[in-house]
Amino acid sequence: MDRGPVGGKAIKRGRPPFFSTPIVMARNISENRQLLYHFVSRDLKLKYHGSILGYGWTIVEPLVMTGVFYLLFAILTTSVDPYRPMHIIIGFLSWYFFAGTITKSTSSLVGKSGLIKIIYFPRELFIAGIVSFEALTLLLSLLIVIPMTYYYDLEFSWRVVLLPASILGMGLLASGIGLFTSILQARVRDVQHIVGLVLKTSFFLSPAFWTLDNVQRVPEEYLDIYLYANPMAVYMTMARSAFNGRPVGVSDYHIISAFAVSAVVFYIGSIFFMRNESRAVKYL
Amino acid sequence: MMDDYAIELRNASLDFPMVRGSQKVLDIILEKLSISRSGSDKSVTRIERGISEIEWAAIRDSECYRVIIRNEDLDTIVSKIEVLGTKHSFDWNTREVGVNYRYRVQFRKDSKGDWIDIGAYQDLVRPEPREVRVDENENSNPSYKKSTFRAIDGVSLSIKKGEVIGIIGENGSGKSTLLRLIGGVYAPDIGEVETRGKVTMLISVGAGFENHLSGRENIMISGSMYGVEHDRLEEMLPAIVEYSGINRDFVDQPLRTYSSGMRSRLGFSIISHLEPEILLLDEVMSAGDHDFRKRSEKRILEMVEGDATVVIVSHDVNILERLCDRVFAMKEGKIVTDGGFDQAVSVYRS
Repeated sequence: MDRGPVGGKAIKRGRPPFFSTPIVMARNISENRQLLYHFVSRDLKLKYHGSILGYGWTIVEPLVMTGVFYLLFAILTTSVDPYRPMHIIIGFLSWYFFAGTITKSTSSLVGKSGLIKIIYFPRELFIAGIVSFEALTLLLSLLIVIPMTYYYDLEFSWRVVLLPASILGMGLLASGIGLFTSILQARVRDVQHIVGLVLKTSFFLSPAFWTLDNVQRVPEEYLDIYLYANPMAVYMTMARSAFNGRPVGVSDYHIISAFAVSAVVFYIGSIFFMRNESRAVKYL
Repeated sequence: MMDDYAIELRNASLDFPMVRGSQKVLDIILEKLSISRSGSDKSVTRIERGISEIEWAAIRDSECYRVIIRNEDLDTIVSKIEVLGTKHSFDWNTREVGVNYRYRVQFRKDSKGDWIDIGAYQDLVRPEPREVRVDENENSNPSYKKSTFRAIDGVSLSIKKGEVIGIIGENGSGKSTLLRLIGGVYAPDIGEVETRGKVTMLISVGAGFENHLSGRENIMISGSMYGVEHDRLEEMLPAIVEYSGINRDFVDQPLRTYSSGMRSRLGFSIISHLEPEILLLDEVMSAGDHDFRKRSEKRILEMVEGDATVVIVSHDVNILERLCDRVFAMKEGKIVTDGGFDQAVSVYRS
């Protein structure tokens, strides 16, 4: 937890070496894991303080949205997906995790400018805190799906490992994007609005309230390209498969591509963040 | 001998981007407020970084206006600027239209205190300048062309373990920025800054306080931001609570129920229990009512006189003389003396 080794080697602050940047970042986070714990527990306490329903809100909102979209689909389409409410809620929760992480990360440095100027700790802690908190929220709200699996009489199979894998993938992708946007937002305050707009658009472009089975009028090859271009579609489908126990429905190549894209985005994002955060702070 | 130093700066420089356009009004107001920061009252220090809401847009349209600056951490109104009047003017030399503002700057220590006048000022503000104007004599400084401002200019300084260093200088000379550079808030654009040992930077009390969490939770979170380990914090907790003088029943109450005095006492109590190896002080801080203020000043002095390596930034010549082994004067981002107290003071006063 010490920021500087006691009487040990000197600390030089500046831009970290290019390729090993993610390692420096990981070390900083692990050295400050207690602070990370405090950030997450603070956010948890703050989220529901003073509200009567408290944790219940984590479940109520996705439930209501699921209800709305379920009705909409029942009216508009003829598709017969027996697990549709469950699929919709998993899609929603995944999307909330992804979009929440990016939105909060974008405003993280700017929002904490007062703190950043009077106290120093590695700033990647902000992003790490946000993604950890959002992941915890996702896990807590996914508990609602368990009674649903009983209702549908589904049994958990080995495919349940797809859930942590998809959460990891979404977390990497979202925090990788957040590492970029947090720095850019410090420079130009328009970034926040652009991010909001892009997220709103991509909500409809990702299978949050629909599933890949609903897509019938689109030729195979376009769907193939789509799955390479949108890792979120792959992750959501994986998360659904973890609960319904059926085959994922996308090829292994799509899964590998989604993880590769996420890892690369995270890697480049961390380099961008670590090498620019000390400059971005000047704009706060 | 290389192991001897605790802080070493080698030709460190730091550039800041220039603010332009409509923020000019804001800059001038803040500049005026920074004049008040030279006073001994610490509550004013917070204005500089705590600004979260400035209703300054009104300045443009009507006759009498008020700018309220709220402190982000403590949510208390600490300062207000009352615009007394405006007059349009035309500059024949530059052929630009401007607005002359007269305004009065006031502040108060907490939300219930009386407003204290800092002074009335008058400034010409040109509406929305298209670009940063470059004065003839400033042209000689090449950094202006890139519309950056060199806040720290080639500072080299080696500070040994256990030394107490004072830095003195006018407002805007770069003292506080230098402190933040050593503390890690900024990284040098040119040159190097090296520190050995745990760095604790004390600029204001109550860093990271959260209104809706209890006093206990705030101690834990603020303490861990200063890099204190969780177990150590748990050990220190009773001592911190006792020193702050906050009633045991209040410790588990949310911070928003605290008076501003209680907050700053709690904030100070956390700071005073830190065990820094390198202590960076922006002014010798103190907080709370008269009694607590005396105690807190005493406590800070104890920390300074202990084993830690200390850098103090201050305007108070007496304190610097009493505490420091070496005192440097800063001017326009440069250290212009070589450590002698008398020399530094004479440069500062000139």
